[in-house]
Order: sequence, then C-alpha cells, then structure tokens
Amino acid sequence: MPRPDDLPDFKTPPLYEVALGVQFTPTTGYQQVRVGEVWALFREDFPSVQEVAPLPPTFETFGLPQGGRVGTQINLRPMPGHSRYWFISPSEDELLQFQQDRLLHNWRKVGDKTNEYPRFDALIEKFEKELRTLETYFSSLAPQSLKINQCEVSYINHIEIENSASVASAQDWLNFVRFDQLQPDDFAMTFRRVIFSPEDKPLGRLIYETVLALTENNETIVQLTLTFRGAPAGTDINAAIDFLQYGRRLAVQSFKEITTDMAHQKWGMVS
Amino acid sequence: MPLSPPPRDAHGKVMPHDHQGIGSADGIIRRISEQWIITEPDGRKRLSSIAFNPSSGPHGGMSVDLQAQIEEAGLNCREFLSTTSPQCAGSIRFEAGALRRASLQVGFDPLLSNAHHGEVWGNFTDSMKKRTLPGLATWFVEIEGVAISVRPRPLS
Amino acid sequence: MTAAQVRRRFRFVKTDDASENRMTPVGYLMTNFGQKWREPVIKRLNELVALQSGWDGYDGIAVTFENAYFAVGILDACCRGDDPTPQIVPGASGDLQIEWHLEKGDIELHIVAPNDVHAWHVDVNTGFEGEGMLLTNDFTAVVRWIKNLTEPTRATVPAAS
Repeated sequence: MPRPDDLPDFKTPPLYEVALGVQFTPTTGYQQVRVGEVWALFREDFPSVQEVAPLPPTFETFGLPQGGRVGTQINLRPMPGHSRYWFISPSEDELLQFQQDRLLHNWRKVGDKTNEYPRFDALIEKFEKELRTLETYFSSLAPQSLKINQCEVSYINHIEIENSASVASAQDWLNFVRFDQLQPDDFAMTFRRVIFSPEDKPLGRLIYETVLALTENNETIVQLTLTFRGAPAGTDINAAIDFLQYGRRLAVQSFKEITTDMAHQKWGMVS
Repeated sequence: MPLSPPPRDAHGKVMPHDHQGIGSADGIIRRISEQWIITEPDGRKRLSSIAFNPSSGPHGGMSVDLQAQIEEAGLNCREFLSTTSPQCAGSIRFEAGALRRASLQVGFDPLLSNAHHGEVWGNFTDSMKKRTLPGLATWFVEIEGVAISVRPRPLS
Repeated sequence: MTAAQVRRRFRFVKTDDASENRMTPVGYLMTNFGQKWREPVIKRLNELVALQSGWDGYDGIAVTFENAYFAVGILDACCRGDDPTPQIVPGASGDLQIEWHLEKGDIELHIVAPNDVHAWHVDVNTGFEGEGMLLTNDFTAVVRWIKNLTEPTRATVPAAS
C-alpha cells in the first residue's frame, strides 16, 4: 500500500524505533513447549532468538479521567509460565516479539545507526503476513482464529540535544515544553489523549512520553515516544491492520504538531 | 431406567436437548461453590447470580447432576456430591418440570468423571439468572447462613 | 514493548524498554494512587486466578489472567479512590463478575472476555428488573451508575411553615 500523500514526511527524522503489536486471547492447544514450532515459522528471516521477561496483559479502558495512574502496574500470582521470545533478524534491526498472547514486530536503529527505516507500509505488510502465518499455525492445533483484543503502534524518536549542557534546550524541539528562565537538571513528561470516533465513542488512547535519556554512547537525547493503543473494531487480523494504519496516521500527524518549526527544518520536512 | 444416549455433534460434543427420560418431578441438583457467596448491604449472605450462569463455548449449558439417575445407581445423592474434589460447600435443587416451564431444556451429558452429569440449556437472560432460577431453587445441601436469593429490597 | 537501548538520565522513570527486566516481586502492588479498593481487589483476583481445576464441582477453570487484568482496567476506568470495594466472583469458564450491592441498588459486570462485558444495574430509576447492556471498553455508563448509588440522597427541602 503506498504511503498516503497527505501525511507529514521528513528526510532525516529522529526516528529510532517503530513497534507494531497485537494482543490476543491465548489460543487453545498452545503451550510454551511448542515455542520452537512458532520460531520455525519465522526462522528463515529471524534466525537468532533471545528469551526475555514476559509482558503482562494491557488494556485501554475508558470512563473516568485516569490522570496520575500512568504506569500503574499490578502483578498477579502466579504469572503465566511463558517467556517472551525475541526472534531477531541477521542484521538485528528487525525482530519479532512472541509470547502466548502477543505478537509484535519492531524495527530499530542498530550499530552506527545508519540503517534506513524501511517505512511503515513495508513493515505493516510484513506484520500482516506474520500474523496470518501465526494464525494458520494456531488453527492447526485446534479449529480457531486469532481473537485480537488490543493493538498498539509506537514511534520512538531520539532527538539529539545539541547543547546537552542545557536541558532547557529541549524546548527548542518540542513546542509543548517551555522552561523560560528555569534550568532543570532533567525532565520527564507523559500526557495522554482519548481519541474519539465521529460517533463520540472512544477509539483508543494516544500517549505522548518524553524523557531525557542517555544513549549507549552517553549522548544526551530527548526520547519522544508516541503510542496509539486500543481495541480494534473487530477481533480479526483485518480489523487489527486497520487500527494500526489509523494509529500510524495519528502518530505521524501528532509528531508534526508537537515539534517546533526549527525541528522540522533540521529534519528536512518535505510535506 | 438408564437414560438413552444424548444427541452429539460431529465432534462428539453433546448437543442441547430436552431428554424425555428425565421426569418432571426429577430432582436437578446444582453444586454450589463458596466462591459464589456474596454479602448484601444489610450483612445477609446470598448466592451471586453467576451461580446460575451457563458455561461459555459451543453448546454451553448450566452443569447439574441428575438426582434420579444417581439414586437409581444405588448411590446416596448427598454422599455422591460430597465426593467431588475440591468439595463444594453445598448444593441446590430444582424440579425438572419447573425448569421446563421456564422454557429451559434439561438434558443428559454423561462425562468420564461423572456418569450422572446433566445440563440445563436455554436463554439465560438477566431475569432468568437473577430472579427466575433463584426463585425455583431450594437448598439440597444447605450452606448455613446463606440464602439462595433475597427478596428484592425497596430502592429509594 | 520497545527494544530500544537507552538509560534514563539522573533518575528512575518508568520505561517500556523491552530489554529491561520489569518483573517486580510477584504479588506486590506498585502504587494505589489512593484507591482504597485496589488492594482488596488485587488480593481477590490473585485467589481467583489460582483456583483449582474443577473448583465448582464440575469442569470449572480458574479466572484467566487476561480477564483479571481487564477487570482492573475496568475498575480504573470506573472507580474513584473512595468508591466502595466491589465483590468479585468467578464464572466456570475463566470469566468473572464484579458486583456492588449497596443500599440504593446493585451493579453487576460480567466479564466474559476482554472487551466483552455484560453490564447490569438496578436502582430506583430502572425498576424491578433492572437494565442491562453490552459494553466493550467504554465504561462511562458504569461511572454514572456508581455515582448514582454512592451519592448521598439529597434531603428534601422542608416546606416553609
């Protein structure tokens, strides 16, 4: 699918990572002992594997304003006994994250950070194929299809602060940050918006997270993450892909809205 | 008389049916877990409406035990119910005819673990779960201090 | 969900960095933001996700983790800090029901699966049979119901003598 013409575009955006993900009801007949069979589905493109801690279920729900509760975690015991597995590409710039109720596809900058972003349209095409492959596998265990209950698209940006001695210079890049005479040592800010349909029903949440951070090379950056998360209109893969497409549009438009004209110039905005 | 085999689908699962071998006066027993006990605002305890829920999934019904079949097998019904593990706190009883008059089906669904297992199928509306079924039930093995239902209180 | 490799500068900030081990000691709450109901709810959910197979005397299974987490999401969306703690009961198929039984009425939320909730309430406005509706992830109606049941009844203004 070609890139929509009306989306903002940049020659050299500070994009560092993109993640597309779905959460689904654990399927009948699947147990962790079968994870090798899942890896085999993708091993040709993702020949390395790493085991990491699992992610708990996540749901966006709507009603009262939830200010102040960002990041509240609960832990129920016993946690399901399935790790999260990273299936990693040869160049390590793409990976699939799999656990019994999740599949995610990440692209990220690696090495000297010159690897080019393959673009959302290429990524989502791959992700859709991966979802259908996984669904076909699960349907071989029992008659079933994926029941997707949550989708998420994240854009993670690393904005280099040219004057790392002055944290306040973050306001040169982000138009919602204004320190004026203040000289903070660090900052972190998260805010969220509920996105509504034309019928005034909540579609999902757009989450903006900014934090001052250090890269592995000790460079000071502002990490700006835009995430759109919620339940798709249906539980099938088509509905999930529609949701992710919509989320991409929101995230890219929001990125332009919250960054400054100076930033746009630096990043070579073309539209 | 042993019940005739129930109808099954292509996967061998029992399909909803009303078994003619289950007589109108036959006792239909539902085991009750202590997990279903809730507390009213005046401190009285009763059963949650979820105790009258069918299970989900294809052909999901409300699991029961067929009293006449248990007794025909020469077993004491109360003792039979007490041999389940974990033990249930109590049990309630319906009459099959009363369930049928409420437009429900009472069927036979023998399991490897329970040869006298039955199911109740039908349209489990809010009214059915919260009013009708609790109203039709009596204690078979009573849980002390717990009511099956309470009369709806005046709300103001 | 990210695979990004950054460290937070100067002080700890919640991170979604997939490479960090975010496992906290099991059974401990992180924060409760003044929600009095939270700790008893988490305790109850921990009981329900650990129910033995056949707990109901038939084929009952434990409440599923996804339903338990979704239940907390519902309560976060519906309940203010000092709202009454609900009672929570398990269904036989991994489902659960959140219930409030108060002087002014009752609310029952049957969570069949995430985004599949049968909500029912009864109060002086609904009549004897109550009112039910199917909800997915928008619990604005339930916020209203809880408010109706917990707000003090206004005293009638005495007629001037």
